[in-house]
Amino acid sequence: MNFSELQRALQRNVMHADTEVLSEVNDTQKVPVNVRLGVYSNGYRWRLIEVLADTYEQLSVALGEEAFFELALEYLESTRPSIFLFAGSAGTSRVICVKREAMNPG
Amino acid sequence: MTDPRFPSLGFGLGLRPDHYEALLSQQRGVAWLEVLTENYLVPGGRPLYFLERMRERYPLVMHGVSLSIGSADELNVPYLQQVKLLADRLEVRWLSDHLCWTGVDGVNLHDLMPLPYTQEMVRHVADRIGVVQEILGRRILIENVSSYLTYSRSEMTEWEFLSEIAQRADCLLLLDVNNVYVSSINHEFDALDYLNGVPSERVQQFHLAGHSNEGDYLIDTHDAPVCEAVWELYTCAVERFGVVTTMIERDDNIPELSVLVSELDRAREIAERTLAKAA
Repeated sequence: MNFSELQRALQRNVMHADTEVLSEVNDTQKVPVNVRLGVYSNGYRWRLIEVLADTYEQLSVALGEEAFFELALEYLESTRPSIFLFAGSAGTSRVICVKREAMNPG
Repeated sequence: MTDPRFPSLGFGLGLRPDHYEALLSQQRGVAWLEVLTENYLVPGGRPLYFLERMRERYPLVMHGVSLSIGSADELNVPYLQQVKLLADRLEVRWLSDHLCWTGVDGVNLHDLMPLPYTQEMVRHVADRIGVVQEILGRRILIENVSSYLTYSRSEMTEWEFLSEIAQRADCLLLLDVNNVYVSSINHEFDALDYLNGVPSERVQQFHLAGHSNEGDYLIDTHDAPVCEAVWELYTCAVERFGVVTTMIERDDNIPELSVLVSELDRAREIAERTLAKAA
């Protein structure tokens, strides 16, 4: 695959757990490929859930962290929302500014 | 060759809203501020109001996260034009972004995705930096990212990749010392090899930050103080690169300003001690 296909394959893994990119990623005894990819895919989900928690703050408080997390995860599994405007710190990818309409389940 | 670097600014901090008031009421120990570009691109409002006031007191530099310089997608020219307008308005000393891609086909993953270290990517990234520098009308800084994976198709080390791009694009480097350390643990290389492999005349700025330890690997979280291992690597970086503009990044668990100023004091002490020893 060329480099644009490589980026698409990794992006599909991060967003939808597609496995095509696995053969392109180096494995090590200490940290297996699935753990390495998981850092990116888990981070992606966490950022979306953070945005949901910020958007539906009162619901998040009322349900509590754990129940809101389960609900948000279920929502993310059933839809494929996208955030397309963000600003964050370099390494942590904190979502600060989002187009909230993209997250509206309605 | 003429030194391509801008004059050093000393020791600064990343500007965060938590510290707006404190930074305006005291200046001890903070020589300059780095602002997150994307937080100030929307005209008007509280962020720009404070930024204008900061500008009166501190030299500013801009640090972006949306350039996606390694993406297969085309460069976002309207974004770059907005960045240029803000940079000109604030008269910033320089601008930086990351050596990474953040999405493809119009998607934004909101993460700093690593690139394969190949000659094809060197050409792709260097050519695009050339375009960016032309639009912005100035030399930019490219920062090494923390990474959690490498690609089997890579043909060189990360530091060779970074160095070759810097030379080819005639850009400068923002060397994140914490990112070097995090990646050295995650990919089992010697962090000193990294420092020794980077051209010193290209290094304009250092980042220092904290990370989290996940056992077999580290994650760059910017939510904790700089750890001892990174302070040691910073000492080596000062030995290797000399006087370089330095800042502390903190994005979560943000403490009082005085706590960050104390960390900055430690960076200053290390630099002064190391440079005195070398003299």
